[in-house]
Amino acid sequence: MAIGVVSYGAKPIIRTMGATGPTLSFPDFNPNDTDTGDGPALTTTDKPKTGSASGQGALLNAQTALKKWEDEQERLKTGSQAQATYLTSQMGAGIPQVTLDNISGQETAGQGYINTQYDALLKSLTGRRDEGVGFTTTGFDALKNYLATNAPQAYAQAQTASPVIAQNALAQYMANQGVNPATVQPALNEASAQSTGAANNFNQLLNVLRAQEISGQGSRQAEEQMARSLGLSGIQQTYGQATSGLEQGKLSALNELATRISNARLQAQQVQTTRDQSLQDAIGQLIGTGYLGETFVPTPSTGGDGTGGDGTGGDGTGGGGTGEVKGVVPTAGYSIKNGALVANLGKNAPGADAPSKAELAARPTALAGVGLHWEWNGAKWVKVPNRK
Amino acid sequence: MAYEPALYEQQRRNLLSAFAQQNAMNAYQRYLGMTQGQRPITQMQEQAFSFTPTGGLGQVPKLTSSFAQRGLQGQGVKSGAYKTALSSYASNRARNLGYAEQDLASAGRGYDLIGAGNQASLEGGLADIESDKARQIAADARALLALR
Repeated sequence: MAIGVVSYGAKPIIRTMGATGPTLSFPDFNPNDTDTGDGPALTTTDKPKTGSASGQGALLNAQTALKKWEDEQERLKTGSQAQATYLTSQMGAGIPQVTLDNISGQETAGQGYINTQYDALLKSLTGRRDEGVGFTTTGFDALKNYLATNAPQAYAQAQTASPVIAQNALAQYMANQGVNPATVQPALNEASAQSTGAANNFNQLLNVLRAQEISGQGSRQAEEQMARSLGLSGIQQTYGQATSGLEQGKLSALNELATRISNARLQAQQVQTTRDQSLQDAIGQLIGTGYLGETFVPTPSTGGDGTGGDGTGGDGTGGGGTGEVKGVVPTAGYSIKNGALVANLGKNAPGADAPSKAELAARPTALAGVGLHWEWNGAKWVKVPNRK
Repeated sequence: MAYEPALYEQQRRNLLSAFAQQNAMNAYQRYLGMTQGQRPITQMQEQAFSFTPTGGLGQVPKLTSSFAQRGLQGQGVKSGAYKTALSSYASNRARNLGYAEQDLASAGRGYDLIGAGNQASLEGGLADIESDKARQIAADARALLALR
């Protein structure tokens, strides 16, 4: 309060609270405490101040609450067991067959596509090669025919030279004049000899040219054969290179496809492994709740043959093969006993197994007493002090 | 270069045109050569015989008249000088005429040879064109295959 401020007539309000009746407390009540199995002990910390009728009501309320709690425990236990059974059945189911079929289908389709493309390209390439061979053959056949029908004959048809024979046009006149014409014969012989020599030389020249002409024709025909072979071999070489390229492309495509398919299978396996791990974790959590009993052993689906999982899902009937789940590594809260995965549930009543369902039902409904609760000792329900 | 028939037809036309021009020139030169070669033959024939009014050769050589004028030749006169001169003239004439005819024939053969050479060049050129066509077709076929 600030200085100088004076409150007058202020009095503290005193409110008198009336009796609130009995108060129930459950010191040891723990819904998750399943090791004792006897439920909470009912204790009173205050006596009812409103008479015995109120005490009876409180007791009834406590019994009703106990029954409700027991029902709840039973429902949780049953549900947990069903859930554990379902989760266990899902373990080790392997890669769903639908996924495997899908991957295999993709592989088959991919291979089919690659082979189809390769066949189509090879067919097209072969067709073009045949066309090229046809063109080349036609072209060189035309050349061959041309050479055959147009053989060079320029020198072959050249006129051969004939010697000019010198004549004595005055022979008859000389005879008439009494002069012997034979005196001219040496001059005639000389002129004729020169003419004969010139004609022979020319004819020899023609012969050389004719031989060269024939040789040239043979050379052209040989050239036609060589060019034809070269053209055809060039086409075959190009065809071979193109075919090799196609083969290489096909192998590369198949290799890439195989890699993709392998990766897809690995990924599916990884997904399945992760799922199994998640199932194990979920089962572990269920075991950790204590509703499944200490010795609950997850019996994973012995599937793995991949026959389950038809894609309809949700029926929980997948798997069920004859395989075996291997390599189950106990996670935190689990241990391996006799080869089985067992939950670590902590302490239990000495020498006492968990009460059966029938034994639970036979537990006394009456209160055990102050500071006491009912506990199953392996043979019967007994009152034991509450543990702090 | 892709196969183009028109290009080869152009080459063929060029070959034929060049052949025609060379052949025409050869024929014209042959004509000139023959004319030139025939001229000495005609001259020698004219020297031996006089021409008739119709252009034909006469029956008496010119040589006879010169001897007749000197009384060395004529009716009943046959001198030794005339006989010797006639024999020598006839021999020289025959030899020279033979040479001239030989020269004319040789010149003609030369032009024939040039014509045959032109023909051979034409035939070779046409064959080359056909060969080039076939090779070009083969090259085009290979190129088409390589295109894929």
